Amino acid sequence: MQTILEISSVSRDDQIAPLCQETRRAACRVVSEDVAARLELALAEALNNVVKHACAGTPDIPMGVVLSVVDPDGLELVVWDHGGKAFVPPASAMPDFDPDDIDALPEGGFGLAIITQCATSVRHEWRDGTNRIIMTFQESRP
Amino acid sequence: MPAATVTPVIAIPWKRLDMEHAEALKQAGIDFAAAGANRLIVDLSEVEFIDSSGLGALVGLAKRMGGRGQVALCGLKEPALNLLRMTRMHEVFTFCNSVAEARMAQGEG
Repeated sequence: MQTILEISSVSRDDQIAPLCQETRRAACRVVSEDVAARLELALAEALNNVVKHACAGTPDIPMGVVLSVVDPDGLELVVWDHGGKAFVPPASAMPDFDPDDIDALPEGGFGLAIITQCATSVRHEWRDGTNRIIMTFQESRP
Repeated sequence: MPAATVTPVIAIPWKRLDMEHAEALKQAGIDFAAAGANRLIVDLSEVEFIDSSGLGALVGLAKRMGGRGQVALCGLKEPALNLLRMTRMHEVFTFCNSVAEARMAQGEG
């Protein structure tokens, strides 16, 4: 496994876009645009969760991204934070709705389902005060 | 003769419609609804990336306008369009290539 990018920042919403853009640029050197786009979306959702939940109410907690090549056409993306409480993904099915029942449309609850949909695999770890969500991305094979 | 009602346009100025900007878009929907609008055209031609927060703000606009198809999304690019398909929210909006096309579709051309 070869690490190709390690970047960190602090838990603020204006820090998410720069982390995503830099990670996508690095991912594009290894995987197709399509996979890099899926990776960027999953990363944004993971960082949103860090800012909104893991570090909620306490700004400027360290968070970061480690991107590694795991096989010739696969990437592992680790999103870590020192938010101090475990980030345990709840059920991650896409919210269901009736498009005609406009008042009941969900405005949230998509983030973890999007991660599950975009990544090839997802797992979570909490150790020594660090939360880690570990995702892999592979070119889809027929 | 009273002037014909013209559907308001929200032109998104950002490259990313994400957690940083979603709140501003939600507020615009609240303001337009308070002013009596029941249709909106959203110009997304500058937007290159949408996350679930941005999607939630768009859904908020649809709810404020009070019905399926009352919000037209214009100039939406891949992969943002993929996000709408992935979440099935493409069923809630109408899609147009441009603001002019949306106006034509609503008989305002």
